[in-house]
Amino acid sequence: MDEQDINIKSLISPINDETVPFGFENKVLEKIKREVALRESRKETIQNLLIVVLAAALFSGALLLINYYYFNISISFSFNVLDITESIKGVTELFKSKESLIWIGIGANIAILLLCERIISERLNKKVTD
Amino acid sequence: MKKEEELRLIERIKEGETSLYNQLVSHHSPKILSIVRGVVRNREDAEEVAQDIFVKAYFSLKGFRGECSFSTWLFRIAYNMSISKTRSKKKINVPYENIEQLQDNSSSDIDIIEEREKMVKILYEAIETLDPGDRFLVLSFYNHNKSIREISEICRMSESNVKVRLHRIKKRLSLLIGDKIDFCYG
Repeated sequence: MDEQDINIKSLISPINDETVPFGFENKVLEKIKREVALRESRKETIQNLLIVVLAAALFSGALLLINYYYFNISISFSFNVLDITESIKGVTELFKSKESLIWIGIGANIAILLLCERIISERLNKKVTD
Repeated sequence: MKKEEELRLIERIKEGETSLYNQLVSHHSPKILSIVRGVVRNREDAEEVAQDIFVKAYFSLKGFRGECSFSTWLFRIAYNMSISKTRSKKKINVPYENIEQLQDNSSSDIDIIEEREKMVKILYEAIETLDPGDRFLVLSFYNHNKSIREISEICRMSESNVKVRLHRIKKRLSLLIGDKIDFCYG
């Protein structure tokens, strides 16, 4: 630094304000905590999305396999309107078969059991809080 | 805080002792606040930016490998964030009256004190006219004693570029202050 620099430096020093406001460090730590929570929540959302996509892919794969080995319904993607009605007819026939009715029955039973379990647990919780 | 001590502290924070980070914040906050206030000019915005600098530094700590000092690394974040802030905000000129007056008791000569006060005001107003990048450079060099090499690392410029910019700024400031400096310093 030359003489000019020293002179400028001495004149600039009054402009230097190094005061730290009260609670500055705490505000920084609070911001960090909020950011950590936000990043955790984003990570969880992404994980959940990936699980849903994977589950959907597995489910679709399972359905295709079942169709291939069991029902043998040909699925074509032509855009002919008349073919759509044929496809709907094919799908309804699928649900009318004996085996399908058994699976529908099993599924409906599970749904009813889950509903009952939900109702009972809510009533029990209500009793406990009362 | 010595450099080795600081590096050890940073290693401990990286290893999971995150509660120790407030020690780094306490140690560096005066200088960071000072430089950001000098660039951003609005006091509330400067404090907000300074907080964000420390938050960003916390999450980027894994990237700090100790090639430069932690202060230089922090100043680099401060440089980028304060420049971004000034771009997003309308330019505000903070009047000189808001700055605390330096009570120079070293001289009993009232004329010298008054002249010096005038010089500080002229210099302050001159710095106000600089663009934020140049203001950062000037304040880092004169107020925070950063070397040319450190400033080049902070601002990601070549050393020659920093020297040229500082020389240009100094020439401009000297033109404004001129021979009045001799009056103050005899």
